[in-house]
Formats: sequence, C-alpha cells, structure tokens
Amino acid sequence: MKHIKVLVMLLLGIIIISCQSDFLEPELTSGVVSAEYYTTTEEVETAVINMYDGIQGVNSTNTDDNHGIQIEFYVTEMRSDNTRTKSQEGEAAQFESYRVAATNGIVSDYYASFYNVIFRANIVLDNLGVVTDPSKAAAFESEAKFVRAYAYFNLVRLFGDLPLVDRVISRFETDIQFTRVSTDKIYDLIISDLGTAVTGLDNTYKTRASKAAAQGLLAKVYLTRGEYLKAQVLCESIISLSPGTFGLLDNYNDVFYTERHKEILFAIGFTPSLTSDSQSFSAEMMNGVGRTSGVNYVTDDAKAIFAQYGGNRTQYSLRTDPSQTTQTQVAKYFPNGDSGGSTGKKFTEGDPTLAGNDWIVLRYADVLLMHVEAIMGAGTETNTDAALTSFNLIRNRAAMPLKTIGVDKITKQELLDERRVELAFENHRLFDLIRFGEAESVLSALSAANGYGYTSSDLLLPIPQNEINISQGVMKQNP
Amino acid sequence: MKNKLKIITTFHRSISMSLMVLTLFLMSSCDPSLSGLEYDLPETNSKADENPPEANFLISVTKNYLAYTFANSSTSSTDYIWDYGDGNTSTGVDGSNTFPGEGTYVVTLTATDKLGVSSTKSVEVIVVMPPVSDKLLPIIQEPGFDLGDANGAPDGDSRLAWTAPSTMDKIGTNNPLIAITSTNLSEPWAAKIDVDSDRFGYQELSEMSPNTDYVLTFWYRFNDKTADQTDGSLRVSMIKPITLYSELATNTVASITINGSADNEKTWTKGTLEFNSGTTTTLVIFFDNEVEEIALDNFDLAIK
Repeated sequence: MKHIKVLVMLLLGIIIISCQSDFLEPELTSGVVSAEYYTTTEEVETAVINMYDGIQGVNSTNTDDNHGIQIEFYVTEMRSDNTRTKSQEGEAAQFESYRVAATNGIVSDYYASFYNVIFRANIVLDNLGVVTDPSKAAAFESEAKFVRAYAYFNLVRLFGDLPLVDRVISRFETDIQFTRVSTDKIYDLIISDLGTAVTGLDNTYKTRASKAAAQGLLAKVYLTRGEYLKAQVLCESIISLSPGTFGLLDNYNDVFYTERHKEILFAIGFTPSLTSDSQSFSAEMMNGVGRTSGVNYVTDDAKAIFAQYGGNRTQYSLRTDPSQTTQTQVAKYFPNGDSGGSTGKKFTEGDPTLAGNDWIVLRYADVLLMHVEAIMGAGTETNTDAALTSFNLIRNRAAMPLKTIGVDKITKQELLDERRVELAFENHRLFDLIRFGEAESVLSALSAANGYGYTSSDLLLPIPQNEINISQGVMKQNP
Repeated sequence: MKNKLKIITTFHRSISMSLMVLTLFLMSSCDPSLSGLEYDLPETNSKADENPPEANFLISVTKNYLAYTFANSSTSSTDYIWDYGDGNTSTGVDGSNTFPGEGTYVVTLTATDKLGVSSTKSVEVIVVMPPVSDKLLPIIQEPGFDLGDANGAPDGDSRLAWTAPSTMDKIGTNNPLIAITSTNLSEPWAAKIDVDSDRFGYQELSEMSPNTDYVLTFWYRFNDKTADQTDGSLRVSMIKPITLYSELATNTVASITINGSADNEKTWTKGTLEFNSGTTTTLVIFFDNEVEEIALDNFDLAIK
C-alpha cells in the first residue's frame, strides 16, 4: 500500500515535470513550413531562383511531373508547318494533324507547368515585404513580373482566354482559378508587368530576367497587339546599346553551342548530366535516342524553304536522319553538341537524355527581325533604310544576297520567310504565322495537302480536360 | 323465347352503356382542362440544357480585302450555320467568305447543340478597300510668314505659329520670337533673325506618319551686316519636341547647316532637308543662326 502511494506520487511528479512547455513545443529543425519560411532576403532569393527552375521543368518520364519548357516544341513548332512526328502515332502526333484531344497529356503538362511558374512568381511578389534593401526588392519584383509575363504570354497565345491569377490564391478561391477572363485583360497584366521589369532591371544576366529581355519580350507583345510604333521604340533601344552589349555572332552554329553569349537576351539554362538541371528535348528530337522514336522531325515544306532561303544556316539547322535517310532531323540541338556519330546514336560521353543545351527564348537576331516587322507595321512592304539595315545584318551572316539600301524593299512574305529559316525550330513559327495573319491560309493548305483536320479553331489548344472537370462546370472549353 | 329476348335486351343495354361510358371517357380525356388528363409531353420532367451553346467567332481579313475568314469560338455546340449577309451561307465549323464588294454586311453564326438548343451571334463587317497610301502630310502653319507681325497686319501674326514653349529660352534670354522682314521673294513677308540673336523658329508638326521619308524645302538668304570676312551660318533641323534648349542636340533627327555671307540682301537660295520620321509622329521644324543675319521664306513639306 505504501509502495503504491509512493509510486503514485512519483508518477504525478513525472507528469507535472513533463508538462513543461519545452517538451510539448519543440522547435522544428528538420522541416520548414512555407508560411513561415520567407523571413530574409536570401530566402526570398531562393524563391526567385525557384521560378527559373519551374520554367526548366523536370527531366523525367513521370507524366505527373511538370516538364516546363522541355515539351514546348510539341505545342508550338509541331502545330506549325515546320515539324511533325516521325511515326505519326500517339499523343504527340495529335499536334501535327490538328486533332488535339482535351485529354492530351502534353497539353495539360504545359498548362500546369506554366501556371506553376506563375504561382512561383506570385510567391516572390507575396514575400517582397521582408526584403530590406529597396534596390534588391525592386530587382526581385521586376524578375518575378518578367517571369509571370513570359508565362502568361505563352499561355494566352496558346489557349486564348484564361484564368487570371495575379497573386497567391488559396485553393478555395475557385472563382479565380476557373473563370476565364478575356485575352485583353491578360495582355494588360503582361504589358504592365513587363513595364515594371524594363524599369527595374539591368543587363546582368542571361538566364535570369534582364532589362533587354524585358524590352524585347514587350516589343513582341506589342507586335502581337498591332502596336507597331511602341515595338519599334523598344527594338531600337536594344539596338542602340553600346556595341558589344548585344550583337550577332559571326558563326550561326555557335549561337546554339557556345552559350550565354552576346546574341542571347534570355535563355533557359540547363546543365548536362544532372538529372535535376538537364533537359531531354535534344535527345527526343533524334531517332530512338530519347524516349521516343523521333519527334519534331522536319517537314518537306520546311526543307524546301531552307533550300531556297537558308544560306549557310541550312547545314546547321537540319540533316538527313542517319538511320532512315528519307527523314530529316532538326540539327540545332544535338545533345551537348554531339551528333551521335554516323548512326546518330553513338554518344562519346554521358547520357544524351541528360543534355545541357540552353533553350534560347530571345536572341538578338529576333530583335533585328522584329525591328523590320515594327517598321513595316500594318503595311505589306517597307523600303526604310533602318529596316533594310537590320534585315541585311541577318542576311549577311547567312551569306544570302543583301538588299540595296535606297533601292530595294522588303515584302511581308520575305520577312516571314526570313524569320522561318533564321529562327527555325525555336518555337516561333506558329506564333509568327498567327501574328502575320497568315496562319489560316498556310495551315489550311498544309492540312489539305496532308489530310489533316485543320480548322481555324485549332489555332487555340483545348483547355485540359481535368481543369474543366475539377472546375465543376465553371470553366468552358475552347471550341 | 321471352327469356331469350330479355337476355338480348340486357345485353344491348349493357353494350350501349359501355359505349356511352367509353365515348364519355374518350371525350373527356381529350379535354386538357381536366388537370389529371393533361397532355404528357415528352419534355415533361426532363432536365434543362445545363450547358447551352454560346455562339461566338473571330473575324480576320486576308490579303484580299474582300475575303474574310471567321474562326469559330463557340462553346458547347456541335452544328453551325453561317449566314454572311450577302446571300452566301455555309455549315462548316469555321467560316470563310468572299464578299461581292465594299459595304456593310451582317454576318450571323447560329450554333446548335444536339439537344436542339441554339445561340446566335451577329457582327457587322464593314468591307472597305484599304487606302493606297496612308502616309500623312502635316500642314505647316504660316510657311511663308504671310501674315507679317503684329504691327504689320490687323488679321494675325505669323510669328505665333513659329513660337517655342515658354520654357525654352535659347541662352537664358527671354525673347525667342523671330522677327519679320519684308521680302522680294514672292510674298510681302519673310522670317528674319538678327546678327548675334538668341531668337529661333520652332513649329511643331503633329500627325506625321512614322518611318516615312519627307523632304523639307525652304528659301534663305544671308545679309552680311557686319561686313567682315567671317561667314555666318543658318541651321535648319527636324527635332523631337523639347522643352529645354539644352535638349536640342540629343533630339535632333536631321539637320542642315548652311554657311554663307552674301552682300546682296536680295539673293535667295533654295535649301533642302531630307529626313525619316522614324518612331515619332510629331516633329518640330527648328531654325536659328550664327554671326550673320538670315532670312527664311516659303517652307514646304513633301513625302519623298
């Protein structure tokens, strides 16, 4: 009996002591909760880097992962007249034949990837309050707005009206998540975001946002909106920078294999061999080297245009598939510059699906051609000296005949063809066709010649079916 | 037999009764006023179309100004009827039509789903031939200074059209207004700037076409008032609008400087300045002088 009393006392004592708050409220050291994470400038900077990581995407075979920019060629280039699949089979082939199902996994991957990038940018904007240095805060804000505008510009051109998410939202705010607002409203946000980026950035980085990148992207937005003068002013402010800041490389091939050079305004950086930082598109575009039997193969139509206007760009842009000589491959993105030997499959080092080639989003050649386009404006040709000068810089490097200043003129068709060969397989062609108002005639002719199912509503991708489903009837499909 | 007759009679009566009841029933069953006997329409208790179609389309014009394409952007619909307002119709998903000529046409899309619910959208399409040249040629106010100055004429003052914003003094002095002098060129008056004067001419031309080559011509003469060996100079420039004189150099689009010193006040020479408007739609004609007195007359602007 006595023993029991002692035991009870002892037990009570232990319980009372153990109730000290230290035991019940330990500091978490192994896990960090996102709501409490962003407390210093350094931590916000990790969120800045995280945005670019989102654009890079995950180099994996898991269909649940966001593959970001790595799958962009499916939804852009393969829907143009430049490329197609080799096998004409499967989900990838839906793009070339204009029969894209709302359940297409690549479409929902791209949609989710870029909304995820927008989310990451909004995280940065949401946490700017803890950045004490005002110049750093301005730079982070500008970078985040650049990235958000870049993501929305891609999405709005691919999907049309979209949900507009300009801050971090909770999962209960379904009205924002699923209400599609007009493209005009989305372009308002893009233009305002890029305006902030232009004022808040300098030209320090190549694989992060820069002032020139924001100006160039904004110029393209203005061209898309038909505001040619504004686009021209922006192009000229890039062109008039001190020589050496930006310019064309002498050798066209170097543009793609010596990275972060003076021709690059903005690129998505990749590093070879690291699963977390590498890309797979280089390998996917070759036959049986990546996980597919060849995607983004060159159409006969594009080949013919190269023969006519390519100049010395042709040899670096495409080649005959060594393992099937009737087919033509894209040659701009051999994994790490290695062409795979005589078979196209023998790589001297490393795994070609872990390639490190950067993805160029915006380069100086594009700015020069945008300059010509801006001067031409709504007209069908131009003989302005400034336009001819910019045009000749591109022609000169390609060893193509130059235009005589004061005599010759550039027609809209010539400009479109020049853009096609200079920027081939860089995911511009579809947007160029739409912007020039030529998508309808070019794509319906392509469709008729190949038995595809093109109608002008195919200029927009379907909203992914799972978005429609979880919206419970709020979100409407594209026609 | 009697019995038999009774059976027949009973039988007849029951038949006629049944017939009457049946007739009554048939008649009353056709009477919709009896609530229990209303028509049972097939739609009764069926669900409404929860995703009714919404017709919509985008219009774009092709290289041929008469040929239009219509991109269908309707939702929840499967069948389409296009009416182009010129008698043409089609039933494809996307529409395209070549209109017979200039005019206003109402293009109507009727989008229907498989439940038979339809939606209609009509848009007016105005078909016009694009203008051959859309280059704008701004008008120069008082190009020949024909109104003279305030003293010379009661109906106006040529100098007002050539006055800069008040913030723009040339060298901190306060009177940039040009003078007006008599001329023998073609009209009674010309612009004049004295020896060592801070005055200058400034006229804003708005509504220029961007990226267009223009030619500005003018007549000038020097007056060798100081009778020395030093040449004077006349500068005529096209500049972007400025508010401070110090901004002049960086905002000059094109400029010509003419050196000269003539004794004969009556010798007029034609000057030419070619320029491209570039990204601006508003430019300024600016002129001033150094050392010698100058006179200017008859400005003219043309598209090259």
